[in-house]
Amino acid sequence: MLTKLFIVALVLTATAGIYSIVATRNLLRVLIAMEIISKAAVLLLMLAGAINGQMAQAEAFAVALIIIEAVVTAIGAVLCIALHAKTGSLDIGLLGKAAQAILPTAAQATPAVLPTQATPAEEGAHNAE
Amino acid sequence: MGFSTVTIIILLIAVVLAAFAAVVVRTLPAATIFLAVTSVFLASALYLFGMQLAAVIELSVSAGLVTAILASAIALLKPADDKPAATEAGRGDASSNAPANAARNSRLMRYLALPIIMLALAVALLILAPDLDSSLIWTDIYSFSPQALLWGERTLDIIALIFVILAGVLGVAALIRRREGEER
Repeated sequence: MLTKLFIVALVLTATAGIYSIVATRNLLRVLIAMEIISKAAVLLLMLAGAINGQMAQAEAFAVALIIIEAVVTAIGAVLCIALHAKTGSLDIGLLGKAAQAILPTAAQATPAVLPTQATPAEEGAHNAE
Repeated sequence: MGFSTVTIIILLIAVVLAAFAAVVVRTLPAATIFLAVTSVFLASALYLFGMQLAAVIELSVSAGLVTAILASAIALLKPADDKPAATEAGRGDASSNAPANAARNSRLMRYLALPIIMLALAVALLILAPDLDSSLIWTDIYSFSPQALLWGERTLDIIALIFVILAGVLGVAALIRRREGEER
């Protein structure tokens, strides 16, 4: 009965997270949904550890998962703030359009976004004019 | 069925309900709080399962740090972003002026299928899922403690985690860095 309930709990938790990702366009809600899916993954690790008799191994993986989850959340939260600063919205559809303004590497690909800096030769030409 | 088993079952049900609440509540602060509650229930289940180290880290990192990060992000954003469901649905034009009731109904309709899907899945899994209770091994068949396993057997994982954290810090720094000429 306990294994059945474990399977039910982890599938339902993952379903709630996946449904939220599909249903919402708010980037912060997507982040929360990803957190919920990772909780289901921790439940799966618990069950797998108990079935295989390798609780310490499962615990080590769970610790790694929790730390990676926190890092992903930190980057996602900053991405939300940057997206909101550039577009005034948290709509995930705007993420691609806002990427050039948010990400420095994308901005470098489009020189018009960055302040232009004249080369010494160009400065000389301007002075001559 | 012992006290510990009953407690784990109650905690599992609580994890599912808190996760469901985190998804369906209307405001972002409430969703963050329910996410923290999910983490607390999960940490309790981990502790009862004998995974004390993971329980402490789940409680401190997921229920503490992640909640603080999300709460800070919500506080830095305009509160108005969470109010209209139209914004969330990506309709920022004329329909953003629709009445609050219409937005609430739209959100209700969007999430109406979730409890039905979850209920159907629960019934189907309770009937179809294999019962592996007899094969559950509550004690570790190896004599490793989690600490010894992490620092001794899985040192590469620890090093990889350090690099993941470093990459996260650099990623955050790159995203919040202000470019030359940008207003403060």
